[in-house]
Amino acid sequence: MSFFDLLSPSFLLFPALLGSAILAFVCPLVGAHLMLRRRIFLGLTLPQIAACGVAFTFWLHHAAGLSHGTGGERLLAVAGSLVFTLAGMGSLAYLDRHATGSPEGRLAAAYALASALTLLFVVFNPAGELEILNLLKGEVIALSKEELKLLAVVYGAVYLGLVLFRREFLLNSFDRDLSFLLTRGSAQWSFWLYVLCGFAIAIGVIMAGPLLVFGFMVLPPLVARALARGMTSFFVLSSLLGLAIALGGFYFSVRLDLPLGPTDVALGCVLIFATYITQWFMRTIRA
Amino acid sequence: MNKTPSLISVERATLGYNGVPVLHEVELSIRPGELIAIAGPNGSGKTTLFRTILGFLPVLSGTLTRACALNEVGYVPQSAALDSTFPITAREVVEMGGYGRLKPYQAFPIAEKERLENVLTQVGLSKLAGHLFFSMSGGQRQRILIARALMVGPKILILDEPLAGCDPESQKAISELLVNLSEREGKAVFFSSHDLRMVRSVTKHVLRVDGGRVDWEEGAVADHPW
Repeated sequence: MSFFDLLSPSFLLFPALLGSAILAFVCPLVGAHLMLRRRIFLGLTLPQIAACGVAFTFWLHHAAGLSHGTGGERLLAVAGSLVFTLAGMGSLAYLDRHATGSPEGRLAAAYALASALTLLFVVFNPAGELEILNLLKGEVIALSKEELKLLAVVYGAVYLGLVLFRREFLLNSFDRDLSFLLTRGSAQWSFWLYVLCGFAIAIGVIMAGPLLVFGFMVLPPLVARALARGMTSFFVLSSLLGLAIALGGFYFSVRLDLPLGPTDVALGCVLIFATYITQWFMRTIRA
Repeated sequence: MNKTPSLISVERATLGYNGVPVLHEVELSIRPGELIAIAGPNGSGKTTLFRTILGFLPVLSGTLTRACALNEVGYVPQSAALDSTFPITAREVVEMGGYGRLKPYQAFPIAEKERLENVLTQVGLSKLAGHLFFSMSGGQRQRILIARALMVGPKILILDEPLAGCDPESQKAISELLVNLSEREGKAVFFSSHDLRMVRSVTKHVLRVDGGRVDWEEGAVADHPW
């Protein structure tokens, strides 16, 4: 199978490729904003909190006496992921403004708590363990048409929001004081940026799992940061590199029969090493 | 001091953070065309005064009156206070000064681009507009931030330690720029420094802040140190 066969709409896994591409195009833009705010570990903690929300709703489903495999489970998972992500983000933002201590420490503690709770909710609900684990692993390869539509709508809205209000978000991240003086809405822009990030993470975790979402949020912006000569090129490069990783990862995954998420993440890491080694080599030659 | 109406007026004010007073009985008025420096040791309350004037902190007691809107104030923070994670160009930093006049989804208009070129020329850095902001020297970064403040179209410029971390050549260029802005363009300029000798070389209107008090020190302009 050639690379171009993958891009054919008649290819069996084309919806999965499309879903992967949507994730890979939008997640890096979300990650780039979090990275600029020095909140990139939110990209690790929030997917874990979202996963905890999924496990919680499944446990609730089980505790209410409903059997697994019935319709509406996926919807419950989306709701749980969304509620937990937005509540987690709101709590962390509140603590950032009002609590003393290290923000990184709070993120690490929240990550540890969410991981532990996720496992506990899975243990409490052995009947649905396999389904939960599948959801948490992220089966982007098995995306249905409805899920693809939901992903496209939510990620389309997130992307549109990030592009339309790019100036406000950039100013708010770069210089909050000037943002306050010029727009009088410093806190408001932070709030909307975090809401967009929250939606992207919550839906992304359901569709692709925490590993792939965090990978796409972090790896492409890291490479783009080393290559970009301006904010516009940083944001555009982040998205395009994400897309390239998704397409390359999908090809290797299908060709070598590897799981998609880890393949994408490994490819992203190879790209980072290649970029930094090339830059180091160029600097050495110039010196 | 001239007799034109004040842009900023502070009367018998107590200023501080979180309800804790830092400065007492502050009396200050800033008029168009004035170049005023505030000097004092680190931690003496210079930034508290600035942040109160800019509306970031409430006045604890007394009154603060602004005759101009906050988006007519050009604020220049210390460049060291900005995050070097951003791969941002000098042009993009200056553009930010015009954001207050644009709708969120509006493209950057030609008139704003012309204004941007003008302010970059004014600070003498139009040729470096495409350079990465954080790869520039301390003095160049400071001038880019002044250009950003001018891009706002301000009636008053407030600069936090604009001469700190600059080489003598940049200090001279920035000092001359501040004098020009107040004398030729009639802008009110209010800046801080912990170096009293330096501020005396730029203006004779010097406020000294120490021990919770702010007092005027009127005197002759000293020789330039460069």
